[in-house]
Amino acid sequence: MMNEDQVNAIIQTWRDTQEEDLKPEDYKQFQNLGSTCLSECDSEQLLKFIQDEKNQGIVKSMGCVLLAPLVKEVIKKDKSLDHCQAAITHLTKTCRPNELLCSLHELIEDTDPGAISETILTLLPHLQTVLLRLDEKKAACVGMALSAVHKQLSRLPVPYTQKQEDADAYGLCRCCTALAVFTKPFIEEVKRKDANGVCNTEDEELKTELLKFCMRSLREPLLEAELHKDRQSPLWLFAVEIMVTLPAIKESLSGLLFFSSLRRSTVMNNSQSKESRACLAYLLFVQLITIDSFPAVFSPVFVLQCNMEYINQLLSSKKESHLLKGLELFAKSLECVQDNSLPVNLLELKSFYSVPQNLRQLLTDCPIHHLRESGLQVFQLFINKLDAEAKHKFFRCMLKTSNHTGVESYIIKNIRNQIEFSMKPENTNKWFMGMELLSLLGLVLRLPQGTATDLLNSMDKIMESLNLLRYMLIRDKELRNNANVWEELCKIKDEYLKMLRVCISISRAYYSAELKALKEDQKLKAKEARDAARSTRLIKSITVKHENVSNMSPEVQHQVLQSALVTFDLMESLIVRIEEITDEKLSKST
Amino acid sequence: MAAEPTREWSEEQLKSDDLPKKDVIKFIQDNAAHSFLNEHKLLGNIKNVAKTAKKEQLIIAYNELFQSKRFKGTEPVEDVTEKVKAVKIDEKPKEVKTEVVDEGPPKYTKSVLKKGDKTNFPKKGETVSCWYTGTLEDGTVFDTNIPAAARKKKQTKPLSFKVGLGRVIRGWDEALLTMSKGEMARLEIEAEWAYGKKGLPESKIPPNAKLIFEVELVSVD
Repeated sequence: MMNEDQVNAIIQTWRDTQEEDLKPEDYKQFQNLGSTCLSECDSEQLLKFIQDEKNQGIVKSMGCVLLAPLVKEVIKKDKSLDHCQAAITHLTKTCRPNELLCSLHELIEDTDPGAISETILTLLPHLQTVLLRLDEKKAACVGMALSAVHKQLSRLPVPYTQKQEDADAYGLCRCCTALAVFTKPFIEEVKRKDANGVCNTEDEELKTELLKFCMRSLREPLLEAELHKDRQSPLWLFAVEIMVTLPAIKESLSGLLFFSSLRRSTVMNNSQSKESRACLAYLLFVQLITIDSFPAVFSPVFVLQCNMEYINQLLSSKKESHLLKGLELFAKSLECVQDNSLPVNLLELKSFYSVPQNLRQLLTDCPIHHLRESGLQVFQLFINKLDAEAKHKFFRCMLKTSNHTGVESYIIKNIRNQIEFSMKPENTNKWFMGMELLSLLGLVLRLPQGTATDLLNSMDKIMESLNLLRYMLIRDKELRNNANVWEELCKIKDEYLKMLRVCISISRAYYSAELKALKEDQKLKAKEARDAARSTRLIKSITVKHENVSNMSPEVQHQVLQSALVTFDLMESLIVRIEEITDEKLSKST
Repeated sequence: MAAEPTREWSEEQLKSDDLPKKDVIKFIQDNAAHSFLNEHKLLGNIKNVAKTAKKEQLIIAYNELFQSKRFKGTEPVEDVTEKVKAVKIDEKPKEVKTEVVDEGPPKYTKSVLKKGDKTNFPKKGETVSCWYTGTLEDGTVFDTNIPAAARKKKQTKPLSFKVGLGRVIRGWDEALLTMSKGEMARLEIEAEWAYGKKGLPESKIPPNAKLIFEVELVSVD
């Protein structure tokens, strides 16, 4: 420890030394003196020193080393806040910008994970001060700063409920707000230069860096956040800032969203950039941010086509925040299209194949109930927008690829509705009334596993297919118009029902046997229990009657078996009804 | 069905050297069914057929035509083959536009405000750039890409897109193909060729709205 005189002596030496003669030890010592000041709660003295006219030489040469201890002090948020801030401000105005940037960058990179938001919030205003002092290479430095800050920012968890946002426990919202403030002067500069028509390469570079910043922010944190126009949260306001920045740097939204595949730069072409643009599409079309300055000339089908890429990106994710946005964007894009208008050749586009497949997977696998609900609504909306031929192709595709009885039964219901719709003379079409209908029915009225079909597993589909059959037989008048169709239909029906009956009787026999065995087993167990209660033997014998010992209690097993038998009864009664109708119609016509 | 064609020439006239082969070929091509022409090897360019067919063959064919009465339109296959000939096989489209089914009258009107160069007309698939202002029938401006301050027009880019591919509302696609570079026109587009029954509520376009655009075609790719 040095005493005051020694310190004054060293300071005097430094005052008299030329910068090029200063050694690393000097820098280290200077930093130590500064740190000591702060640790002894004497930030005021340090500030005085830094502001002292006589010390400007020292400050200019070695001032940067004081940044780290000062910033640390500010983050701690002790009483010395004001002095430290003033000291940092002075440094940022006095020292060389390049050196300052170096030190500040180091501080960002070394951010303590427990103090990320505090560090960012402390550093951003000072970073801005330094960057605004730069004459050349400003763009590159701004870019580096934004990139470094964003790297730290993306470590913070994104609040997802209003409560979480209000609490802002990890400071993400405050950081985003601060970032928006940070970028403002640079955006203004670019705008000003554009307005005066004096943009040079440096300015173009700055625009590029700002664009990168916007794209990064769209992906993280905005894509994760819950953004709603009714709730103007800090993250919402941040989103608005981004949307407004883009046209300010002369990036048209239609260019970014619709025509970016034509673009040169690496900014645009990867799945990260797709996520950014997906978020952009969501903010524009669903949350309607800056929609009033978006050209109102594009055809709704074209908009849907372009958005499908982004919808696909979002629906391929497993994150709730992504899926929700994907579903909303899909619904919104579909709503602008007329019903029954999307042509079949659209389905040949990759995204038009992938999106429904992703949606189907969501419906069958996603554990989140409200997503499945919304998903089903959008699924139906999509179907409604397809024209007859496209519906036909889509139904065939789903029946062939979904492998899920619930989805299949839903499609069959749709087929029924389409047939009904097509029966009206103004809607007649060959896809649901003519020979083409048969290719669809062939997929509906069949049991690909034959007699090995698990009826219970396929129950939904089978019941729905029987309902469809019943419907067609009742409304046979219109369908009989094409004799070939009707003949084929009857053939398909007969084969299907024949096979189905066989399956039912096999299944029923099996389950009845199981039920009987269960009852026998129960009787036996009861008898053993009574015997054991009576006897005084200490050894108990446990008899296991069947090989497969189920986890279910006998009562539950009984229930399951009973309900299986009831299901078979249901199916059979529907078949009987169908045959009744067939006979009725036959007798009517003869 | 059209009335049966009448014999133009007598036997004598046919055999005469004054009657060129080309005329006979043309007559038969104009009046015979496709399959008849095919059988008698009379399909294709008249000049080429004239090179390969002898006068005698043509006279025989001519007479057979009237004997068999296999005139155009007498075979049901006729219609299909005609249509098949007319259809161009497009390669798998990356562009998908909604099918143009009806051939009714155009659902827009155009009044030229400023003449273009009348030379550079955009073709389907070419990139066009436009300044435009869109208003509703009541005069509300719902969209424009012309900046308010005239000096700002230098830094703003006109709207660019590929025309004729269904990327924009149909009224625009159809109208722009009739405009030449530099032309400024006023388009009145009926809802059906604009945003139809749905409209575009967030852009202030109500359902079934007729749209009026002032469009200036700045450049053609």
